[in-house]
Amino acid sequence: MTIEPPSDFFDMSSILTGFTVRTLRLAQQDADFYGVFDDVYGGAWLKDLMGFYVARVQAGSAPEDIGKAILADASPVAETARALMVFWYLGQIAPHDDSRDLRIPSANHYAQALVWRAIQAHPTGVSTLRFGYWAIPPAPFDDYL
Amino acid sequence: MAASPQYDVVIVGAGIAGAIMAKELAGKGARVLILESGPRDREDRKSFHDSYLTAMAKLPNSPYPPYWHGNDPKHEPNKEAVPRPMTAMTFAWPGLEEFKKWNGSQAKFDAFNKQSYLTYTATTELPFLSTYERLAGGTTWHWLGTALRFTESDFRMRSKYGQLVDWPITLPELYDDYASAEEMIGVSADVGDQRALEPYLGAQFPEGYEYPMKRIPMSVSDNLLGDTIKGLQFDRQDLEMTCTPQGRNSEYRDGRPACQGNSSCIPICPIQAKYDATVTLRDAESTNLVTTLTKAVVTDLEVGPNGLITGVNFLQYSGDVGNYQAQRKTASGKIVILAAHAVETVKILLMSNGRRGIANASGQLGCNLMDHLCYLGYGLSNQQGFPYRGPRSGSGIESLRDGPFRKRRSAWRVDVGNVGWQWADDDPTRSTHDFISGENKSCLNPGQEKLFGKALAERLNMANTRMLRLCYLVEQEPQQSNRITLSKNLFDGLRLPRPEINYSVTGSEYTLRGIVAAQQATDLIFDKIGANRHFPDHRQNYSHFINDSGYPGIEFTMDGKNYKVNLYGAGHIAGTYRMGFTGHDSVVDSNSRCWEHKNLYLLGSGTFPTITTGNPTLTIAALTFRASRSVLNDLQHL
Ligand SMILES: Cc1cc2nc3c(=O)[nH]c(=O)nc-3n(C[C@H](O)[C@H](O)[C@H](O)COP(=O)(O)OP(=O)(O)OC[C@H]3O[C@@H](n4cnc5c(N)ncnc54)[C@H](O)[C@@H]3O)c2cc1C
Repeated sequence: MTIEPPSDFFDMSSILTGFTVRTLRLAQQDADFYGVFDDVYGGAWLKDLMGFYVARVQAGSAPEDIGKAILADASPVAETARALMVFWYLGQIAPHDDSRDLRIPSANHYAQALVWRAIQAHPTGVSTLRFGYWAIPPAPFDDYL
Repeated sequence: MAASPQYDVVIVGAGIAGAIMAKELAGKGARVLILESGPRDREDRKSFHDSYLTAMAKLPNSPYPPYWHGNDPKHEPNKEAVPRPMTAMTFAWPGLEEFKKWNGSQAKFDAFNKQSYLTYTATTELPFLSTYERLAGGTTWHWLGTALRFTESDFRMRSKYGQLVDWPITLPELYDDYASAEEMIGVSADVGDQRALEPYLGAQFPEGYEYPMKRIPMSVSDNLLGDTIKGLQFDRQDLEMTCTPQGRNSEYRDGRPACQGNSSCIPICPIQAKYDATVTLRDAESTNLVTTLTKAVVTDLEVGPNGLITGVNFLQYSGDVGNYQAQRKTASGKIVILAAHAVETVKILLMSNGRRGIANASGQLGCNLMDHLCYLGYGLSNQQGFPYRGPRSGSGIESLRDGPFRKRRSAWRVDVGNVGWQWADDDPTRSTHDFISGENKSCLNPGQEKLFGKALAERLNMANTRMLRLCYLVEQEPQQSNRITLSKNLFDGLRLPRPEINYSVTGSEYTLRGIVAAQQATDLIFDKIGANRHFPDHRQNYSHFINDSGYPGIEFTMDGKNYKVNLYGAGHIAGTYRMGFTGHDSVVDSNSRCWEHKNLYLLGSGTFPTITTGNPTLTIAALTFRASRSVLNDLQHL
């Protein structure tokens, strides 16, 4: 069974990815980004990342500053955060101790990957649009976030 | 010896050629047996699509069995019953500089060959870059759907330009068969678009001709590029964008929907708006006169004293990779038709007669192996074209497919991609990794920035919505030394020899000049686009030579200038049992009938004497219609 992610997970993911919590929640409904990340990446890495995030929120830091702190060169959670960003953006994930073993855990993870929204397109291989849509420009960028 | 014929005709291979032939013959009452080497499952499309979506490398072969897992290019052709060439194997081919160090070392080639279905002689300079599939429906499972007619000059290169060879057929003789092929595939196009090319390509259609379906609209980026290149000339001819005739539905037709623009035509259309040969196979079988045996690998043909084919030997297998049970069987028919595509058909003929081969009095069998050599030109446009939307490619530059320049250099058409740099650079994946991790593999992040939040989304948007990719399909000169034979020591999982290929392209100045022209045309187009407003300190034209494994390349000197280029395959495998005017210099006649064995026909692009400037499958289909009349005629006399 999939565990409902804590709302902090969405808030933090929103800072890292630039997408709204609403978009992330919809993606999570279709593909379990939270649980599968924890499973595949392994260890307590996600817990540590969330802990780091929550501490900064409690300290009253602004979202942009929290993002910078998480991803700073010396940050102990930067690597985990980037792995999570890759997962959200591309649906690709590798275990923490074997970064070359990248994989796409399910078709839905690929189909919900954010990069397609970022480039105002649909996942290659998954169109829900109608014949001829490609002849006119897509909806504005902000609509996809 | 085989038992007396139960079938009028035995067809080997259930791809487009085999399926059309079966349908045409059964339509006239002939009893047909199809022997197909691969599997079939009517629920396949869903599982193939899932395999594609979860594949890390979205290559033509990715959705289809035998599966290739993971990131390691090695696979196990020695354990598979029906292995086929894998795009992934080119990942194991070294970059040019490393390859030069091989210096023809047999040991290096041996190590590569062990893991590859296509094996190579030590005089090879480039792997053969194209692939095919072995399952019911064949390679059209992952074709793109481009359905162009050849030009009048394509058939008459020797008489018109003093280059290459002539075909024993002219274009007008194929008009009706092209029309049948377009009807059967279901081609969407506007004949007016194609007629507008007449000043460059000559007439390609008879009076009054109309395509079966209306054209598929051009994408935003195709229209933008069309405007950009207006007024440009190359070799004194205009560069012009044309909406491509496509074998995909622009409306609901024959139980299949209109294209939804999934953009994954290669390797799979999830909704079958794109034609594939399973459509025709099903039609053929619905006559009740066609029986298809799958997992039946034809090994060789038996020849009677009068040269007629008397038996088709095959292995019917079951089981799984590395653990097959196979039964040896024989089928027979009054006429035998090999439609196993340009590599496997050659193998069957070479394996016959105790592996001494048949049908080869001309010495041409297996020779003249060709492809369209693909040169990829790519860069960024200054305007947003919004690629990654619509059919994978819907337009092309066709105005340079013919012209007086063909006296000295090979011609090309340009397939204009609709999926950004996906082919050239694996985008948007690569640029996403770059902007998250601070790398610069895409050459889009020279400042090695590490981005997050909206800035990340915006930067990806800025680059990916402006990506342009041109693929030049360069006509390759037929060369006798580019040749398929049987490996003497490497086998597949049924103990059949794997193909051994000798392949190089630098021996043909005609071909190389075409590649140079492709590079020059790319510069011309990106010069016109001008300096990049969004990435001002970047190069304009991102096409560059890559010296890594996985990017096979060649080096040559032309007019005092040194060139290094990477080449890619188009999937257009041709020439290996060419048709011609006489049995002295060709394997089949203009009806695709073997000169030496009167009840044996060979179908597919293996019969093409030249690769021409059009994608092959429409012509494969047209030639199959033509051959079917000859088969029906022969049936009456045998
Ligand atoms: C990525 C890609 C994109 C392409 N795009 C286009 C395009 O846009 N336009 C175009 O015109 N062409 C395109 N092509 C080429 C096109 O796919 C082929 O020309 C076409 O499918 C060949 O049809 P065929 O029937 O001759 O062979 P195939 O479709 O390969 O069928 C041959 C059949 O024979 C069977 N077979 C093989 N060996 C044996 C054996 N020993 N015994 C029994 N059966 C056997 C195979 O399993 C297979 O089913 C593309 C190819 C590729 C790879």
